[in-house]
Amino acid sequence: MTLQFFSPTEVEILTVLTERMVGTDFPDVKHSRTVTTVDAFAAGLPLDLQVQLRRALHLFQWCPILFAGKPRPFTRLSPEDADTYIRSWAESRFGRRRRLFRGLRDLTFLGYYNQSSTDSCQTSTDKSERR
Amino acid sequence: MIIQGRTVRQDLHETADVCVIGSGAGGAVAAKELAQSGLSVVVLEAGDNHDPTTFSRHTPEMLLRLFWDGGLRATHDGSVLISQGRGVGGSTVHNLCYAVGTPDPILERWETEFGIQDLSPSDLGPSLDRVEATLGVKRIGEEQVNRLNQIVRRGCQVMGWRGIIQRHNRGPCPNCSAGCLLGCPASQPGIGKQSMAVSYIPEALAAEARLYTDCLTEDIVVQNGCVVGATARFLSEDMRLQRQVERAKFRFIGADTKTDTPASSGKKRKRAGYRLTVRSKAVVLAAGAINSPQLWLNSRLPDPGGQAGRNLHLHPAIFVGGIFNEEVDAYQGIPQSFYIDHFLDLARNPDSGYLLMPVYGPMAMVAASMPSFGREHRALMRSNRSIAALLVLLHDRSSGRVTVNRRGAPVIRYRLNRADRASLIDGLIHGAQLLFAAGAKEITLPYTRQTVIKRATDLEVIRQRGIVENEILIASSHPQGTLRMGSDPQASIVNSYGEAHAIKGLFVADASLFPTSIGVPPTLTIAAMADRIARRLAANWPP
Repeated sequence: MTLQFFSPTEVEILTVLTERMVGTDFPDVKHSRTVTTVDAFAAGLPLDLQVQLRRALHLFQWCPILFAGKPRPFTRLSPEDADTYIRSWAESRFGRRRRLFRGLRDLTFLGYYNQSSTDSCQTSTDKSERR
Repeated sequence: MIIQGRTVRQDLHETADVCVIGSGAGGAVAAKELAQSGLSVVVLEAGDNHDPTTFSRHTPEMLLRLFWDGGLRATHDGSVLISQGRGVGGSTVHNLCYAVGTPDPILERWETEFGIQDLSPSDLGPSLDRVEATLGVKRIGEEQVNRLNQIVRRGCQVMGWRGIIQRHNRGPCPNCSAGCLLGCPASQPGIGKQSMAVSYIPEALAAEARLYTDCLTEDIVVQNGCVVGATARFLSEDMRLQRQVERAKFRFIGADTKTDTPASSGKKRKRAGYRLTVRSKAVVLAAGAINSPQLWLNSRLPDPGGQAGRNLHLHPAIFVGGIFNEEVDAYQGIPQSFYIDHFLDLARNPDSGYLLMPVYGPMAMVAASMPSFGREHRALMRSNRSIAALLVLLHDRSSGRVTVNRRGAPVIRYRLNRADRASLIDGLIHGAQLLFAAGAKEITLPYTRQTVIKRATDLEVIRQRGIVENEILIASSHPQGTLRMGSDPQASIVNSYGEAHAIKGLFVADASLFPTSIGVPPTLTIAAMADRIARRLAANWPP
């Protein structure tokens, strides 16, 4: 995919984040579209916010050793460890960590649930589960 | 006449009687009233002139198009997200059309506590009447009350609280949906949302006002204590091209959208950053309660009491959602028509209280207002058709401040005081009680950790959690009070008629004026104040 803002590393972080935040637990055709959408959104933000976004992604990628005791980047964690790591941000006693969690979470939601219709809540797999 | 900044290829100079900065609820009204009085008027607007037929349902695209900072403007610590409109019509393009008059106790308080003259309910009444007539304000018909609002009304009746169907500035709304929060595609004079862009602005243009879009005001020029004009910068062509690429990209990834047709033939322009210099006898500052003090501070205007940017109120708001056994389909119809003012008794207590109002928006907003992440979050999202949500909108006593950083960008500081935190907690508990009374089986709250309450007896958990910054989502759409009115030049910025104490000919006509939080949706009050200020300026011309 052609991107305007994110580097390949950042795309990888964002893709794993989307899987964990949205909670599909499996590769979903919508994840790549989410990344593309978030990329286009990020490219339109003011420079200050773009810088903050990049910093947040890289900080999140490299902090498992600090906050989860895992000497691996976020994208190399198992799904269970990734969820534990994300939860440590969500429930941190430090406001800045909670802020970063909420910012990244809501960004993935903005990409994933990008249409104002209810269709956004149904993944292809949800539909196949119903069948 | 509208001059699109992106089509300008040279520095420009304008001379006018009045330069109006901003085209939202205040600026549009001031421009129309002044132009119709026979004065020559130039309006400077930082954003686009949006064609409503190009409004899509693609949330990220519309956030970038309609909001400052793509909808991500926030307080310095990130704890309050502040939605502010950018573009012709300002926030009236994306608001939900509650048309609430200024509460009498608020005006009486401003008169007695701040020494403001000629602003009693009977003084402001004619301005409110004119604004309501121009915007076509009327009560929402019973047949337009959607399922969400019916459920909230049902809960309100069970609780025995006071609530009313509100009045709106909207005409008939074909295919109305919660996407209204991202601009109304049907909006045109008399139909759909009656924003300033389809009401006051066309009338101002018909009276020969000249409107510059994509034109960011950078300086208000003062000489010898009198305002003499303003300077602005046209948005760079690079930025324009970049936005067009974004829109094309959104289209590529499947958004149901059309792009604005570029006014140019597509030739790449050679330079960016052309400037506009306006010479005028008066300037009306109406850029909103964040950007107006920003411009004031960047222009280094006199401020004997050091009040510019202080006294910020935000009307902080928190969502509380109920999941029902029935389908609510809140995205269909007018998102807000009923509201509960039982806990806002301004006659007895003019400086506190809160409103409970139904709310629904795009799916991304619904997702952001749900707790937790992953499977827990997804399970809640699967219930989205059965969710009815309320907003607790606080009449805040807490006060913040807008300053500017080294690059001149606004820095917003705001911290809830203890009393306001307690009020928000009470509001959340009352909202949850109402939803349970209406038949909700579960209540969700927008904490970062999973928070689902299944019994009305468990609501004390809200008190235990409290209101902690960045642990619960707090939003604001009503910043106000940063260039406040008053009779004391040491404690206020402008006098009773909106004119700066220390600068002749400089007027403020937006929510920055409010000496205190107003407690109710502010659009009508902003417009009425602008009407009053502009008519007085025209009647006493020159300033």
